[in-house]
Amino acid sequence: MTYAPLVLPLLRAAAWFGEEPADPLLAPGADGFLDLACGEPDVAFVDRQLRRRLSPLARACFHCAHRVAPAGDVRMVFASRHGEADRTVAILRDLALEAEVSPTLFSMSVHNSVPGLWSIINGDRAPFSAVAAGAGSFGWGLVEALAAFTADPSAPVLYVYGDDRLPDPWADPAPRGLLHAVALLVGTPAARRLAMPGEDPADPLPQSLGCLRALRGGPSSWQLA
Amino acid sequence: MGMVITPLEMKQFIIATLGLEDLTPEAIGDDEPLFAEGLGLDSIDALELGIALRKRFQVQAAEQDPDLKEHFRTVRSLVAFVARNGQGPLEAGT
Repeated sequence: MTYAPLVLPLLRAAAWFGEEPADPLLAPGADGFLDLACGEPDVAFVDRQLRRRLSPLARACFHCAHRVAPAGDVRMVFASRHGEADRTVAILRDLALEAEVSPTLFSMSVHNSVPGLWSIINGDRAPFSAVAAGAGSFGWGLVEALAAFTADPSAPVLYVYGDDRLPDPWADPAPRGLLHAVALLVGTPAARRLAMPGEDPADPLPQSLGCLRALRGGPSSWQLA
Repeated sequence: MGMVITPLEMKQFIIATLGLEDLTPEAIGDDEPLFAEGLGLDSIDALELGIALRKRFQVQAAEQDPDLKEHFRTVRSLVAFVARNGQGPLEAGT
């Protein structure tokens, strides 16, 4: 059975990579629609007292979210395959050693810590949700964002995806495990319309990178519509 | 049983424990309140600091100690608290 592809109306996009991608289609640069950067994430807009609690993943996500978020409250969908895995593993280590667990690690390790901190920093009272759906987390998070937008198309929905390398002993041998984040503002009138492919476990390219390649006009299973 | 550390060592310990990335020891006054209106630390920091003090200096802080809040008020009061209750570092570093 085949379905018509989901088409996402997008207002603007941002991406950030810990290391510059080898793919020339993902070179750093901003074109008015997509702002792609690498190196040190820019989180200077976050208050110092909260900034110190931001993990590398949260910094990557905030860098991107800050570049596409509209002024005022905005509904948000956050997605990540592994979330704050570094912090979870550190907690598990402490538990295994029967050491006391760090309260900071505990409170910042939950999957919704990124959108939670975002809402605190911005005083944003709009609803948010956090998605984890295995290797397809990027796509399923987008489905959630599109569903939220379809339910109420009068305001845009901020979609933020981020993933980090899994820490030892679960480090992912595949190049999928690179630290990066993507933010998409789903809304109309769309600057770009992107048709989303179904989940394909055989596709060697992470969905997030396929999406960015399409937004840069390159060949991808994702298609500009 | 006590444990002598300097205010500078306590400031370095607080900065390292709480990840106060933009702060130097010189920027923290010995008598500056650490919480709320002073340095701006919060309740999670207090818990984190309490556990770190226990791990590093084996400080035995009784939770029902009515003066616990006062012990944690400033760098100077923490140094005095460790001097009275600390039992030497389990993890090396001094």
